[in-house]
Amino acid sequence: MRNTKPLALAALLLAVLIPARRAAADEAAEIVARADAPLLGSRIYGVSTMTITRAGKARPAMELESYSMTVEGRDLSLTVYRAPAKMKGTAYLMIDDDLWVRFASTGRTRKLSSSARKNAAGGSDFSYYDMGDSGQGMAEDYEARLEDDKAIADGIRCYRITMVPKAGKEIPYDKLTAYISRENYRYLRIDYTQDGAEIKSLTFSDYRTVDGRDYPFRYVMESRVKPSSTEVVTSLVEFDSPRVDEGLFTVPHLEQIR
Amino acid sequence: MKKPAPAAAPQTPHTLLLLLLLILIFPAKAVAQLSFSGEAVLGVTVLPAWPYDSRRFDSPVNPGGTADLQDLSLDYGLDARLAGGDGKADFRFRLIFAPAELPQVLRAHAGWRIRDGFWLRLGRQSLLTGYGYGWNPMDFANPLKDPADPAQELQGVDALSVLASPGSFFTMKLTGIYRPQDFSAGIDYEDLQAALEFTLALPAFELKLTGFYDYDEHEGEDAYVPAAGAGLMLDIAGIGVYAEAALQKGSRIYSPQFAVPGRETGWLFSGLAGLQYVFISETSVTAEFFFNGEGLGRTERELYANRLKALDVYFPDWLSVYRPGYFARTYLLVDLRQPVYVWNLEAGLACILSPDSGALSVLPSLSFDITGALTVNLSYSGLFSLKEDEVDEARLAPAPHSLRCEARYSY
Repeated sequence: MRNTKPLALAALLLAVLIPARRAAADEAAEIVARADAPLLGSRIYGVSTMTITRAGKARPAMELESYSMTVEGRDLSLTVYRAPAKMKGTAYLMIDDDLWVRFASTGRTRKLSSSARKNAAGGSDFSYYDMGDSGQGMAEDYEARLEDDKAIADGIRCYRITMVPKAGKEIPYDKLTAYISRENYRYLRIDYTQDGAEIKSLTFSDYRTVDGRDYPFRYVMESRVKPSSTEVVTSLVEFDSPRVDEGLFTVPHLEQIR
Repeated sequence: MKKPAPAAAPQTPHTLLLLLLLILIFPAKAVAQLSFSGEAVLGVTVLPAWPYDSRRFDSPVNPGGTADLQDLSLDYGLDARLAGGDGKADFRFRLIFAPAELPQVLRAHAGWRIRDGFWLRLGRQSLLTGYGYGWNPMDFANPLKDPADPAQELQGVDALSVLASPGSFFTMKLTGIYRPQDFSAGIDYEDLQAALEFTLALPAFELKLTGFYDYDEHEGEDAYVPAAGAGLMLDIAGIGVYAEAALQKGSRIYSPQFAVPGRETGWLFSGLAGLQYVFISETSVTAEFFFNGEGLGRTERELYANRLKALDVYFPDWLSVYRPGYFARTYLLVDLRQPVYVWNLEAGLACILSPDSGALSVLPSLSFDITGALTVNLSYSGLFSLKEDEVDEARLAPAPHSLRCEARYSY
């Protein structure tokens, strides 16, 4: 008689483990969705100041205007530099994976290959891809898994969640590790992994209430591979903003930017 | 030789009139939101030449030192930009001031957003189109860009453009161009030209079609010819792959086949293929191959050199044929850029090789961002002949090597 004991044991393990994994994934997705919720919007307009610090020395601050929306499943975003004088009028337009850059120095607009999306935007620690967030949140692009529900980040009890890009999504990172506070589902930190190495870390702070949303007005991207960090301080954010319309996300508009 | 600054084109009175007209017709609301910016430039150029004698800069394209080149020259200038706009209308002026030259008006245009997806632009504007980095054979209306300095902003074209973008995928631009010989003498219909550009932008794919029409009573009488072009750009696994093709009725440059300056009037084909990629180290690479249908073959280049030798006077028509990057039939360009953020600098190296003439341009550069507003650029430009017994750019150049140090302050 065949010994069916190992098979039965394996089946039992699978029966127990698979639902457990599913439950963990569902719980993680729920946590990420709750953390995403205050950041989501259909038409988002923002004004912020970006300061790059290299080797401990801060560079002149840059002022940025950003516009984002989603139309028929396409993610649209536009970032325009307003200061300093050298950068004024430089702009990035992203439509899904396509990237156009308008160079203020020459007034020219050039379409870049998608390989450029993973590189530094304006010399900052944010990539073009990071700058192109269309306000749809992490849950849109990543599969989440709860790794630890008792983690501590900056002295705050939080969930540690691993996020890997969903199949078919062209995302330059292998994995993101997000730390989300247990108490109020705020993003505290996200660590970015690329080619197996942790390359940078984004921390969120100065949460304030805007239109009933808990929104971080300061975030800092710190590189793990070079002595560099970039701080972004938001001075204005508008959800469902009348300033954002589809006509902004076109190359002809990019060429009109001053 | 890399030019330190664009030569100022002669300013006809119509430029000043156009500026005045634009100011008068522009909405006061937009003028109120005026912004002023620009760059001050200070540069030193060194032209090392040997043997060091009084004829060191003499060459077939600089007979008797006509260009008055100096071993070391200082240049300075001001690039001033005025812009205004309120989202529905905008205007822009850009002038370059240089000592002992009239201000060069690069841009002087006003634009109106008639309604969503519909723009009108009047005045001096850039009509540059295409995907190429060093060359754009499908661009017929603009001045030719210099592949040794492709980012250099060129003087715009006086035109009225209507741009329609009915959906997010299509854009169509129809342009009427005005190129007067002498404004005060009135407008001749021969001074008018038309250009059309159609763009289809789909995810990871873009297609452009261009057309240009110029009527001349006598074929080959000016440097504009009827032409049609097509270009596309694809994104394949992160690599930007692009191509341009152009068919034109006649050449824009003089052919040495004719004893007195005259142009070819038959059909000519030009094409470009290229790719761009950015590595994870942020090294960006652009590589291009350019087939220049208007360029000179070996026999024509020899004929051209002989025609120059036969001249004993300065003859700008013939000298205009000599243009590094457009002189021969085929060119290869490789451009490498590497930002080094820790030191706030960008290093660049461009090489342009003409496989048929054997001319090689080597263009290394370093750009230091000193304060965020002040940038210092160091560059070298060298032209070399790789083939014996060939008439190429390097052999004709009055100063094949140049070193330049330039400070730019943005305000």
